[in-house]
Amino acid sequence: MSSPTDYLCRLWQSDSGNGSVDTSDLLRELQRRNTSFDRMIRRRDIREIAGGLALTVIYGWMAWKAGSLLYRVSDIWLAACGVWFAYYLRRDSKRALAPVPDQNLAVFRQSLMDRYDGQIRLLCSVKYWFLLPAWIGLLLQAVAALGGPRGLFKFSLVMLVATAGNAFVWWLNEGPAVRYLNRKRRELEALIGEDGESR
Amino acid sequence: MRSGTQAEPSSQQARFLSIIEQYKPALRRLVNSYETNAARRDDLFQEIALGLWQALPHFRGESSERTWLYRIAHNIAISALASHRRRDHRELPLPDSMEPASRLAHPDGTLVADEQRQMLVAAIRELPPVDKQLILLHLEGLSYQEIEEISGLSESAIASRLSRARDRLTEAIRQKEVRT
Repeated sequence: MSSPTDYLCRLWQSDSGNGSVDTSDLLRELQRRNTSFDRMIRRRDIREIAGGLALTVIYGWMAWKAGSLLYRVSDIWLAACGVWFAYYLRRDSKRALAPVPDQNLAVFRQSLMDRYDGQIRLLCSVKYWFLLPAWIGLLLQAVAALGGPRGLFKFSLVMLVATAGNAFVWWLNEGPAVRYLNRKRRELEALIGEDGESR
Repeated sequence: MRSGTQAEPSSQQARFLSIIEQYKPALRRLVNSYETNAARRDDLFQEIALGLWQALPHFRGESSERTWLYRIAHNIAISALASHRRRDHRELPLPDSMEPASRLAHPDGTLVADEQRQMLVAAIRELPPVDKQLILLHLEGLSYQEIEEISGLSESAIASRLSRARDRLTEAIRQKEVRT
């Protein structure tokens, strides 16, 4: 007499899989998807680098035209920040690529979760790699403005706007954005975790 | 980024097509147990095929072709499941378009087997993801050693989870039979 397991295996494998596959159509579709995936990655890379480099070009040009040493130093600092932001985002986006699917299932599940952890870490560290360098650059600009006419007013205005803007970005990243990602991570964990929910 | 163009194209194409041909029924069954919606099943099949196509140039035969294929297929299916679930929060749920047994049945009396198979698929879909992956590998006839290699779980963990999943499947099928 066959065991219930043998019966289940036989029942399962007796399904020959409905639906035909036209292999030439499939190959065409795969090549199309592969190309569009490559294009999407290239576009994203260009976008990330272009944002940082635009900042570098603008402040580089301002440094070239600067009227005082302090202005020049602050512009060079902010231009360097542009390169740093582009580099940092590029490095992070390479880490955040979808995990390669030919690893074992447990490692793959963990990699999916790690992507969320990586994004959360990125947002929580925004004060160090983005806000602080930008704020220092703007502080130097404000100090440079002190030497000119209505210097104290300009200094106060730049510092007020820079600090308020940075505080808002800090709150946005570490508040709503991190809460949203944490919620999504919990949902993913519930869905694919060891004892995830059924569908 | 991985690209599917590193190996010699024609030999890679031939190998890919032979893999698809050989494992098509198993991949269809796998897709069917992850996706209830017919259109999404085709999408998922294509996503898995794309994953295999992209991974093929990097396959060095360190594991068997079968374990390599099932690793990729299950990983892509679980990713798709997660991303569809995210989309489902924003969209209306799509109807279950599983074929009714009567349409799949042959006139020679295979209706009962078709119904039982559908009950089995429905019961598998209700399993937690890890149990579902293990039972699918088991039902495809993979050994414990192969399942260990694919899943990354120990043999004892696999054995206990499989035993629990089999009991759940048997019980679910029995209950569905009682209801119908």
